[in-house]
Amino acid sequence: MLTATADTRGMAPRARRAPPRRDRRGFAAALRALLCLALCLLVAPGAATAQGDEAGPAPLLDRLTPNRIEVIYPGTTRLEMVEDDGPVAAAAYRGDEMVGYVFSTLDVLRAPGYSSTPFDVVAGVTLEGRITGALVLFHAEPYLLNDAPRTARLVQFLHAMEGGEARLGAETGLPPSFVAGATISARAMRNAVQEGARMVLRYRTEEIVVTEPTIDMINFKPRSPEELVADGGLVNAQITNRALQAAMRKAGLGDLLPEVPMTGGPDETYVDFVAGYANPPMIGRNGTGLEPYDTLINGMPEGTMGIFVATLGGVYDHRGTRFNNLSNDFRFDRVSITQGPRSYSFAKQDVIFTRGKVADILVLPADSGFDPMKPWRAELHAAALRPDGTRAPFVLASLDYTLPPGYILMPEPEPAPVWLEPWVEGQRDIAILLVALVALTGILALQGPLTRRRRLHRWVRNGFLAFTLVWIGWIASAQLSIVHLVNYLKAPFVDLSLAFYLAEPLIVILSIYTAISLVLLGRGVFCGWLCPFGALQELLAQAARALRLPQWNPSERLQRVLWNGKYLSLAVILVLIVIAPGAAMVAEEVEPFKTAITAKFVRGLPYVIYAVALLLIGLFTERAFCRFLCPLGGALAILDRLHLVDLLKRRPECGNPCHLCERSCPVRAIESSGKIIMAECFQCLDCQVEYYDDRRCPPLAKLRKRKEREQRQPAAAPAQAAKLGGNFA
Amino acid sequence: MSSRPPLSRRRALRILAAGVSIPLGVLALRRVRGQPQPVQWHGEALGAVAHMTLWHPDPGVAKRAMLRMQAEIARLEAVFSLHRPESELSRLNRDGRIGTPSRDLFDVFDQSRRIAEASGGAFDPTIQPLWRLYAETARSGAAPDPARLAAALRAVDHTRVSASRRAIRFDRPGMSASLNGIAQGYVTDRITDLLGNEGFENAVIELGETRALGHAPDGTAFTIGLVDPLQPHRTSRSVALADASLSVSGGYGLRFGDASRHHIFDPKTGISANRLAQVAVIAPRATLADGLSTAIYVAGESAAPALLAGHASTRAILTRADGTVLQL
Ligand code: SF4
Ligand code: SF4
Repeated sequence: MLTATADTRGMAPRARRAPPRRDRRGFAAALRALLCLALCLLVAPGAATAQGDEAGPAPLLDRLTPNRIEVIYPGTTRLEMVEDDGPVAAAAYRGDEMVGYVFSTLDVLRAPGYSSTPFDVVAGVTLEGRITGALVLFHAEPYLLNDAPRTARLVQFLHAMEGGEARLGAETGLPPSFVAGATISARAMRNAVQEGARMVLRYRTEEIVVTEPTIDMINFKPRSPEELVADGGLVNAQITNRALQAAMRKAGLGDLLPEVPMTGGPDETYVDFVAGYANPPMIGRNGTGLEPYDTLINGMPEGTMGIFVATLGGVYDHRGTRFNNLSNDFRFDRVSITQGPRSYSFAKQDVIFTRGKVADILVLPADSGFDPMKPWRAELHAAALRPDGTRAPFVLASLDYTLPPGYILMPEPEPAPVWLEPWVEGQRDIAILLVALVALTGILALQGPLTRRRRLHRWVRNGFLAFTLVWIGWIASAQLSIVHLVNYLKAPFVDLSLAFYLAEPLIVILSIYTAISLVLLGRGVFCGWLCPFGALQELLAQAARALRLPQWNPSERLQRVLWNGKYLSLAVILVLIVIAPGAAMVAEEVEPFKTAITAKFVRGLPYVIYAVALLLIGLFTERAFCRFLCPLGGALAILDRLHLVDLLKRRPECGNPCHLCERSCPVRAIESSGKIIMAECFQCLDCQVEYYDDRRCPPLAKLRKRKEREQRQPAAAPAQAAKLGGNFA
Repeated sequence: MSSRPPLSRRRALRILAAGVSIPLGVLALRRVRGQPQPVQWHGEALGAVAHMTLWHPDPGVAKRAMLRMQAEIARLEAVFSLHRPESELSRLNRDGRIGTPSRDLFDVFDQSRRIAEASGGAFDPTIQPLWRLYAETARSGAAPDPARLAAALRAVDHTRVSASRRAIRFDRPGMSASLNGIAQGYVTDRITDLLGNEGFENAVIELGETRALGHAPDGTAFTIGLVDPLQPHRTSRSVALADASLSVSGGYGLRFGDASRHHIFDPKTGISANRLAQVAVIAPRATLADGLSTAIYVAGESAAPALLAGHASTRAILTRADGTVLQL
């Protein structure tokens, strides 16, 4: 419905305001067509449509022959049914431009004229609300049937509606009295065209924006009372003679006779009564027809409410005659309404009567305190006659009513924020990542048992690195990078909404995990396990080692200098962001992540060469980029100073005299003193594998040997193992 | 340290093989990934039809980026939209003043002030009263009443805006700012910058103004069609755009009543400018391109060289009312 609105809004400025002029030839042709149609109508009323049968009218487009279209919307090149829930209509196109709508009063209003059989007038309306023409397809109006001159006048009268406003009661080219002798029919048809055009248009061009639940005053479709009862718009009480007697007994009047006598047997209907809230056109307009409803909506002060009550059958009815009596104070005493503590009774002047049906609107002024959104109850009263002739009133039926939700327009739910979508759509990826992070947490927590098993550790480590590279990096493109970090740092200054960051679930989760792990364990958790480019370097380095490629590492002193490279690149980027954001974007390219991970090397040649060069260097100096250049690594390494827990185990012998771990560390993060520089440690746990290896770690090996010896010769305990020193490499 | 074994033949070969295998692996990976794929988005930004096309080898990445850009567009709408009564700009227009404006609003006011000054007021961000007057009278199809026009003109004056980071204020009653399309340019620039920042290298962003990020993936410039000002349903020529923005001003878009009354007003006369049929400006940034094209459209051909000279890497294509074209 709103898209249709948007469309037509876009159209409106371009569409012509005045109805199109036609040249004389066109006019003559149209007149001929009209006469022809009039003749058809005269000869075979009802032939055009399968009328009045249960199946309802034929589809609108089938009823519209090209001749007819030319009369009701001249110049139309194409009609297309509008597929929405609004009043049935077809969009009229001239070429590619949608210019208006064509509709049938039978579809839209099912309005009857003088006879009770609804007529069918088709008409067109421009987007600006001008009628473009109207043509009667079917009617059963007694004063028109088989009356050629009158029928011709009716056709002319409807034709003269062209150019008129689509508003009930707007002036037309000819007055209804022009169709002398069938004025009522003519007026009914005119009204139906005007009202129908307005409904067709209003539904599609007026943007209905409700901010709170609002009663639907726009939607209208023809509905019978039975249909309204079925959808809850009306409530209904069918009181049989038996039910009447039960009600009288309940009131203690079982011995008396009702004021209005019953007819027929106990199952015969005494009264068939319906009630409902009259203001929604779907209920009130359908219930009473045009005029009483129009009186309620347009003829009463703003905010006036109405209760629709009607008697559909039976010998009893909700009106009676006593409301006409001065002696009864004109009280309309057969119906009363209660809502909570309030109850409402009515007098003759509070009722809008409908002619021809026992269907009325009980008027409740705006200040009556009635709330149509809340439940209420209608009571139908009757009376028994006492022997002395006095009346003994009792409640015949009591109907509980709540306006069904279908009659209430709800405000559009706040659209879900954009950032939510990736979280919902990415559920699977999020789940995979969470599982991986739980696994990683487990690995780090259980590093003792894990690193006691050299081969298991190798498998777990390489498996996780492969996952990080292939899934996190290449498949999910969730490589955390200095760009993210910079964005987070900039966030307080640049007015980017939170949504912007939240829209990347994997990056958000990884950032949070990294931040927490950084504070707890240090930089190594991210760099050693979760960075795809880091994983790529490490896997390649392992291959290189397996191939026994020569490895080169700087001396401890040189390495200390080189380590600062990453702080330098970080500093350059941060400074550039402040003074030259454009240049900062270039400087960020020092990271090959975009090239190697997010773009999978599908990038310009210089970038690819740079990334490949870094990888090649990494073959001979493990993670050279990570250790000496990576700005993100640098940022994490600075923050690493904060970390709270050291899980990596050391022995007093570490560094003095033993240097096993130091050499086993692939990134040389262990100083010759045996101290682990945590800012450079990647938590690969290789040193821990050595630590627990009682064949390689000297103090452990000594212990093991002693134990073995003790087992062999339990008494002797040689005390010279201390000389074992450092030559076991 | 243990002594290094001499560089034997086998060893050298292994090193060579390893050195070659990485580039080969990279090539294989590129094969698997294929070429950048376009991902498109169509929607609405600041009341105008909007498109974005992003190229990326992984369409998923582009789609996610698109969503994030939408979040950013939505945020900017809350700053600049004249259709939203609660946007910052609407509040400024209603109250004549806004305290602690967002950085975005301030930036746009600041840039429009610069272009307004450079163009001697031919570009004026405070044109909104005229716009409103024309929109109101358009219903009747007639030209606005001269007295009301004069009243509206009194409220159009870019020099009567004081904008600082603390507050933006109109010094006269009845003033209101439309920001004259420059807000669209700003949104276009902002999104393009963000995308560049995210690592995208090929994109066409059309959020009211058009900006190309990088080249088309095949290395050529993007081609953008220019509407023929005399037959607005056709394109008359195309413009090659790479790492630049295009802004086109012409009176054939929104009309009020008859064809000579359209949405680009001369702030001095209050009447729609009709010196030129169309002005297209190509500039590094969309904000600038927009300001310049409006200014030249209003000020006319003679003012164009000076306006363009004030800014590096800008050029313009002017179409005169008779259909002749002038490239500057
Ligand atoms: S140092 Fe850089 S490349 Fe290396 S693992 Fe850390 S973030 Fe990744
Ligand atoms: S070997 Fe030990 S010190 Fe070296 S990076 Fe791995 S865990 Fe850290």
